[in-house]
Amino acid sequence: MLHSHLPFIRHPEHDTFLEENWLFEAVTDTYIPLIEVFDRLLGSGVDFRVTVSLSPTLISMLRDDLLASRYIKHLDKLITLADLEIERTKHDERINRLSRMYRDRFTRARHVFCDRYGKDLVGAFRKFQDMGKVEVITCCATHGYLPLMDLYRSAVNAQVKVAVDVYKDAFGSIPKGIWLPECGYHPGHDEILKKHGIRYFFVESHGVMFGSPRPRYGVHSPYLCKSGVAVFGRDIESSKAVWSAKEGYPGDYNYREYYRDIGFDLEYDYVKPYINGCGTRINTGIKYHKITGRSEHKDVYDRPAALETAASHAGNFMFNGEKQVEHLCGMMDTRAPVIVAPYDAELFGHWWFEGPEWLEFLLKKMHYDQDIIKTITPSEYLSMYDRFPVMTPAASSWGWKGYSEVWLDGSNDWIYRHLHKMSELMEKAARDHTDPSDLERRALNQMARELLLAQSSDWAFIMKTGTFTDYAVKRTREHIIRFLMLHDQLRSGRIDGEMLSVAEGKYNLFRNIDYRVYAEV
Amino acid sequence: MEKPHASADHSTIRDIPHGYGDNRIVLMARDPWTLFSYWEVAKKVEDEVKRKINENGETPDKSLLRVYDVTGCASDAEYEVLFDFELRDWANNWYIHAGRPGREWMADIGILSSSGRFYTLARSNVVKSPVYGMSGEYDEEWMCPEDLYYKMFAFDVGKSSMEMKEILNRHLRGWFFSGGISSGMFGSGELFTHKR
Repeated sequence: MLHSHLPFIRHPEHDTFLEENWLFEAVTDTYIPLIEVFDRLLGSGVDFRVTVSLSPTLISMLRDDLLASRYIKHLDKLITLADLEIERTKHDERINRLSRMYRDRFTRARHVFCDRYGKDLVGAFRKFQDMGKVEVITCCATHGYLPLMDLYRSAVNAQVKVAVDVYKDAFGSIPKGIWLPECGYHPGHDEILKKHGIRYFFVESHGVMFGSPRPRYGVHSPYLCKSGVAVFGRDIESSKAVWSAKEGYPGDYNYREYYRDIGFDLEYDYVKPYINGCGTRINTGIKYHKITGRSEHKDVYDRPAALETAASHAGNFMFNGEKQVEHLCGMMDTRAPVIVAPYDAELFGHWWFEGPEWLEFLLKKMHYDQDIIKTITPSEYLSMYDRFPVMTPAASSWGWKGYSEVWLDGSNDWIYRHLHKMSELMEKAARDHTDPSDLERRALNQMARELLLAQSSDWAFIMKTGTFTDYAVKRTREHIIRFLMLHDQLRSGRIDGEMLSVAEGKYNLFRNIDYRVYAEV
Repeated sequence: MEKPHASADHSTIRDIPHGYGDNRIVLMARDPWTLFSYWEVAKKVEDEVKRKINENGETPDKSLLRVYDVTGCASDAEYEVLFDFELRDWANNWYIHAGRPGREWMADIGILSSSGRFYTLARSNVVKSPVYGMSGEYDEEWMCPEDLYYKMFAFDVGKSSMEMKEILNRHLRGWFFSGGISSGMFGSGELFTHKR
């Protein structure tokens, strides 16, 4: 299960904007490589199943013309930089080979993006879903962290409903499942999922293990909540193999080192024109070293050796999965144990360069080399049995420490009095305005967007982890302030049409949002 | 009708308001053992309560955050006061180390009078701290005895249930604190690779 998400970042007011790079990097490093993996598997007749969640903000950005054209410009700059690199490194065969590898990569990405998929990567996922290989599910509208929003159920409901609407618009049907942001589950929220036709969701292992009554099959079966919605718990063993800082695959010394990027390593004047025009050093994606070891010393990246390692790690993962299943079979009555292995998609390719290839090796091995385990979608598993045990999962998340601390901590707790107040005001405004004028309706809808955008859990996460804090604080403040301004203007009857148009133009997601969702109970 | 925010006029809000002119306290659960509370006390409510205190022949002594365990309580009389935190004037939020998973909590912000009587200024919502640990309930039809439960974690069932519980705790704590779980584009790449 691959969870793909980025917060909505779009700055038409600037020619280039640093944080828009996150999208471009994710597309180049992760989404396109994964799409290529799926296409290769399809092409060679390998049967596989992968579940992919695409957040509504990500879908919105992937379907935006401005961001698409900026992405192409970004790729063109990288291609030029790679050409320069090929020239610069021509006397060092090992590095030169890598420069060429990157040039090919970027050129291929451009081809996949523009030619093969006509700038519509969401369409690629739709294709894989239509062919029955990938189950695409949704995630909350702006990846809002639901447990800390529970004070206003209308806000929780809106995050889900808007998500379902975005999904319907992109895929033509209701999503079968949802990835709760950060696996943040609060008992009772499944009723809201039920209301919107969603059949399953995921929780962290202890969400199931601490569920009540005791889970008969541990995390190796889904359970039905009282609402009838199914819940799948994450399997720790398979997760550890990939995520663990000590033991996980991505830390292998043969894999590419993330922190030796030429954007930081080379002369500033040389890289400057090819990195974002804003003047700071950033990732280019061109990296020539492998992890090598724990010290600062890094050897030159050896691509064939890295791929061999990926293949061996895939074999290891599959072997462990087989052993795990053999161990479990004796305890499952006659049921087939399910192993739920969710990851942030961006791990594959971006942080762990060889991740997509590892996945490709794994899916091929599972198809060709054995009979014990196979990949399956949650919907397929649910249709295997008539009955499942009923259980109430425990409140939990997959964040650090297993609960809500990441998003509620000295660095970010200040936001909640504002987010809650905005929810309260939005609810009231939605109920009060039953017959708004055109301008009023636009203001109300934009207020809803501002609330949703302020609720992105990414901001609180970034404030806690401290990397791009200024931007996260700026965005949170911007949305709170604009919401309050619109609210005030609505009340006083003096709506600033120009300010409204600018906001609608910049935050052009959720085009058909209906503010009245906040009047729903 | 009162304005929703404390600051100036409609079109010139340039900064996030310090408060909204409300009189309220909100309680949130951070994890099984910790709650978070934020509040705002309206001056007129505070003045009114102080007046009442004086009327009763008492004087206002301390500002308090009072936290109750209200699990299964049918009425006020049953609320168990667990903590009283004395507050300085400037405090408007607090982390409460309640230490009890799976309980229902409520908080009052109020004034303690000179004679030890507590006057509520605002009362919070009720919030439940997440449960922690294996559930005591099991389903008759889908029986899950304790040793089977731990076996599902691939734990050695030869141990006593106390030992298994301890192993599970350590296992989960090691997992929870590994931090490698949520990363997306911003996060924990440094956990796999070694930052320079």
